[in-house]
Amino acid sequence: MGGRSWEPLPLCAALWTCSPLVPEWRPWDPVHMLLTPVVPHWLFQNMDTMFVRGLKRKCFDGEEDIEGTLAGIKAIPSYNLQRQSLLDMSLVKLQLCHMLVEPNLCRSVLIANTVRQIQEEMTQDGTWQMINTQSPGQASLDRLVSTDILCRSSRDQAEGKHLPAYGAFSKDFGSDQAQESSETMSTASSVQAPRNLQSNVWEMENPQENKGNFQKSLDQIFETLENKSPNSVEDLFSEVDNSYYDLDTMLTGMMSNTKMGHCDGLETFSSPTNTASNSNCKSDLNDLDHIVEILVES
Amino acid sequence: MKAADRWRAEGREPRHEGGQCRAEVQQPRQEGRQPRHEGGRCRAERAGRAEPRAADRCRAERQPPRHEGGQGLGRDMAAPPALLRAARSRPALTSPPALPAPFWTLTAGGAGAGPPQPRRGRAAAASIRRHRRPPPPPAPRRPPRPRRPRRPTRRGRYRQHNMAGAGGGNDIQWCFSQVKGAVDDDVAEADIISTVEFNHSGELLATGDKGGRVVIFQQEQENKTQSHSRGEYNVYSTFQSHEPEFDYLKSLEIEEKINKIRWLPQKNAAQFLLSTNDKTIKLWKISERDKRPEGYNLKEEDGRYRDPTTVTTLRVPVFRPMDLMVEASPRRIFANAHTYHINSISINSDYETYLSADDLRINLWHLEITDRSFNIVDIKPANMEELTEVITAAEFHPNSCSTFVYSSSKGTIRLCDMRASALCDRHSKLFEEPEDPSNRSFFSEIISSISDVKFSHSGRYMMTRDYLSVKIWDLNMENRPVETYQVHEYLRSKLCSLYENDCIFDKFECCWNGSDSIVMTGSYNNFFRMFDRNSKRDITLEASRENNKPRTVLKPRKVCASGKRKKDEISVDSLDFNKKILHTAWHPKENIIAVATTNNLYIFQDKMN
Repeated sequence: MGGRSWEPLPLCAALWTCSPLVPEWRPWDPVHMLLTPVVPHWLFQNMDTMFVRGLKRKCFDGEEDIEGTLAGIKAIPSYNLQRQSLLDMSLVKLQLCHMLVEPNLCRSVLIANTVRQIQEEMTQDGTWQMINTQSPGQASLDRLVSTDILCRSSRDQAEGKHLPAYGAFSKDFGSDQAQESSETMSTASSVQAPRNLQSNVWEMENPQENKGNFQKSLDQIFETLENKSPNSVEDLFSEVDNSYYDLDTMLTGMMSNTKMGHCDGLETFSSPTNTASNSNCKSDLNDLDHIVEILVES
Repeated sequence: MKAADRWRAEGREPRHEGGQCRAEVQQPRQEGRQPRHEGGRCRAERAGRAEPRAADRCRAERQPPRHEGGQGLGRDMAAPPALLRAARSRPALTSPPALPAPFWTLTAGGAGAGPPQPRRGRAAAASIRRHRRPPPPPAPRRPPRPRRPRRPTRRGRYRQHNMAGAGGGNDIQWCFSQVKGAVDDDVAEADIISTVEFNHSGELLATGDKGGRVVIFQQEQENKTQSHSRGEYNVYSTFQSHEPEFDYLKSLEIEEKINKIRWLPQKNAAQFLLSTNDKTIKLWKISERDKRPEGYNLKEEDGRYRDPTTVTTLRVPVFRPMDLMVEASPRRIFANAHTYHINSISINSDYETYLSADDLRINLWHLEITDRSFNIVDIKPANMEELTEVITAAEFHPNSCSTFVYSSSKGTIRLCDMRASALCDRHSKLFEEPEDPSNRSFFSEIISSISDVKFSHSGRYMMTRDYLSVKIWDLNMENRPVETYQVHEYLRSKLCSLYENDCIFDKFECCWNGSDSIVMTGSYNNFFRMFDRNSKRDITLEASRENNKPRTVLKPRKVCASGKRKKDEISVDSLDFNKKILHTAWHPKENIIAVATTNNLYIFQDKMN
């Protein structure tokens, strides 16, 4: 039956067309590596199995065994990692709406509920405070341990892939944090680390602001769903990193970035956003002109 | 005006006075001279206007069409491949339509403040008039299949098959019967099937697609000699039900995708159905014409007008038989009543009213009245930031004309009685199953969201479909369902991946068979599942072109969740999540099912011996 189709869905969804169910063997596929968000799916298996020795995990490269010791060490942070990456994914999903057609309200509500649930759990857990009180050395050790495992297979293809994610997050949470994240990225040795570092940085620096940001982004999304005006559409477009929609840009950006540092990668990403003509923005501007024309004429 | 004068009027000095233009020089017709002829009618007038395809209309307005319109299901399997999708763009903005301002943009007193203001006057009449223009006749690329002329007769001749007693689902051997749609793998977006529905007799099968078209198939009369197969379904009518629109106030496109089709029971020779997209519901009349008048005095047979002076004798026009023509015309347009996307319509058992449900509101309409509707459910919070629950489906009870149910994204079903109050915000019954704590995860809420709710034909039970299971509820018991069937439990461990690729938001539908003994629903990899309520057995079948010989019995499929994969089993990892069966329908009287994959419609029937 192997009738597996690898055609990506229409571009806005293509980012999330992943191959969740990896077959036992398949050749390294650059396009789909790049299109697949690097969230190792073994993380999301049953919590029970994570505590079992000799956990079998399927990766892009093939099968590897995780030692039981490592599983024990990272049992607790990996739940947080899972939760955090789920949160990140949900936020990106909420923002990446295909704004030509009105977004699906049911989907948005469900994602927003998931985000709220995670947020409440994190607050209840005291995760904010927990990360706060960690000593720097211990924190870095933890990060290194987890990132080492996570990046064992995903180092190569993940490099470029996470940069757009950073782009979106940095725009969402203010440019200051983008500065911080780029700095932290240059010091980190692998790619997953920046992701966790960034999230940890957020948690350490301003948990309250983050919670406010979550709520703000949720509110913003619902507001935009509620009443749309040409101006708000423009705003949304200015926020969203439009290089998402341009697969070529993403790919060319990544190909040239393989040897560059992470900071450079971010800069390269921001430039296509500015220079590449975004048809969506343009058409919206054209429509604005049309509307103004009609109003003026009448 | 002469060019020189025009220049002077603009304040410029003309270069020269200009000669005599042709209009001045030309000799007028001399008096007394008879023209040889009046000039006749141009070919387009004589042939009758043929409406261009929507894509050509777009091009005429100097806008690239979003798509070429696909081919629709009314094509044979050997049809030429569907055209590529064109880039999306706006429709022409130079002439905005003369639609009145939608009433939800008027400052309303608050949520659910009684019935909305009726649209009065010219504006309302203009929109209705606009839609009463005769619809474009279908413009197929190939000539339509020739049809035998038939008299519409009573349809009581199909053999009734004993379904309930004979043991149900697994004693039925399902065979491939037909497949409709293009063969290619490159699916035109407009060809994606979005709804499938049999009519009340089962003779007609309607499908709606993403391009706004409705294709109706009709079952051929049973051939007495061919006793081992029931009649085939062939294209009866194709028409463009909804066009893409643009909401100027929100700067957003309104998709023309047909979300639901519901048939009205047949009262006369014509058939009626309701079709809806995200914002507008239309009542279509499908009628047959097999006679046409001939023998006019002032008109030739081809439509040209005759000179009255050449008429020497008078005759009475008579009706003569002609090739059967099926016409679809919109009789009612129910528009501008929904702020959010319509997800369900349901016709009441009084056959006079129907409800339409969007994400936050449910409206009650009368089939004859298009300019007003009553809002009967409104769950919109005063502050949209507090929104946590939306309506996902709604249906009227099949026998009780004042009862309806609606399901929500939190996994609850509410039964409301319209006799209790005008605004049914308070439910009469709340059906909710307590959550299983052992299965709790971040995705529990998402997978508990109900995607479809269907009453049984008897009206005693209702079936709900959430992401992983089908539940059957007895209307008399609210605290838990009476039966639960797992559709694809092997996906429970893959929920995060399915959340990543958005498959977790897929809305599967479910359906009952005619006797309420078997329920069916779709899954991934073009699989669909049937559950026999009596024998508690289930079967998984696949809709694929590999078994496309008629009367080939379908082989049951099995998905192996983990561990050793037996022969003929398919592992979870090799399932294709792009091939999903969301829409299925079961013939109301016989064992014939229609299963819609992405762009193909499969018809299966049970093996008759």
